[in-house]
Amino acid sequence: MARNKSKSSDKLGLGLKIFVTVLVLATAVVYIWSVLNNGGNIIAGLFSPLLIIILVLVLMTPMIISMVKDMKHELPIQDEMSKELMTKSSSIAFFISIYYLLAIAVFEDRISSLLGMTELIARHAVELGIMGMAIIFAVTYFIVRLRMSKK
Amino acid sequence: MKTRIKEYRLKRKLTQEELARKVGVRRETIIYLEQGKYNPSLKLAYDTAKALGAKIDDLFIME
Repeated sequence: MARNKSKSSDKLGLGLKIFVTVLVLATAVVYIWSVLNNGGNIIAGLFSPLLIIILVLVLMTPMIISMVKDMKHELPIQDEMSKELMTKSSSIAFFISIYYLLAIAVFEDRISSLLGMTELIARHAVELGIMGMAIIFAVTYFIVRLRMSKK
Repeated sequence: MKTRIKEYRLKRKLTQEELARKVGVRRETIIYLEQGKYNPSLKLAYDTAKALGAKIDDLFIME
């Protein structure tokens, strides 16, 4: 009974992750289509939304592949160790992200001059924030996992 | 922490995947448990011991 419940929650979790990835893919297609239609360059700008989309896909794809593999072998796709790993890395990444966002706000002028812009417009700040948070989470997850395997 | 999970698993002629299925965890967790790199919850320790027909004390050796 409990195993069936966890199986259905596993399926729900996997379904949600696939849904988000498909959503990101669809956004990428719409973005590329709209940029090309307006005669623009897809990789224009350091903080192109395309970079964010690629980053999300790079993070999600291996996770989904590993989940599908586990499901095929009738193993749970999440257990107490993976949940602990995710909780630890999320909480650490959350605190680092707060300081990172604060740093963007405080050093706004320096960042904009570093990027060759006169000022950091809201859109670029948001893109910089999202991309940075995604990178912070990926690095934190990798480090927490590495530390666990070196114990 | 040292564990004797591998020793007991091999005695029972179980693969890591089979043990993972019995206990209801991912294979990766069994690998980490066998290497003593993961401190399991009391429930997981109990389930592992039960699946291997051993006592918790026999499987986990605190140093």
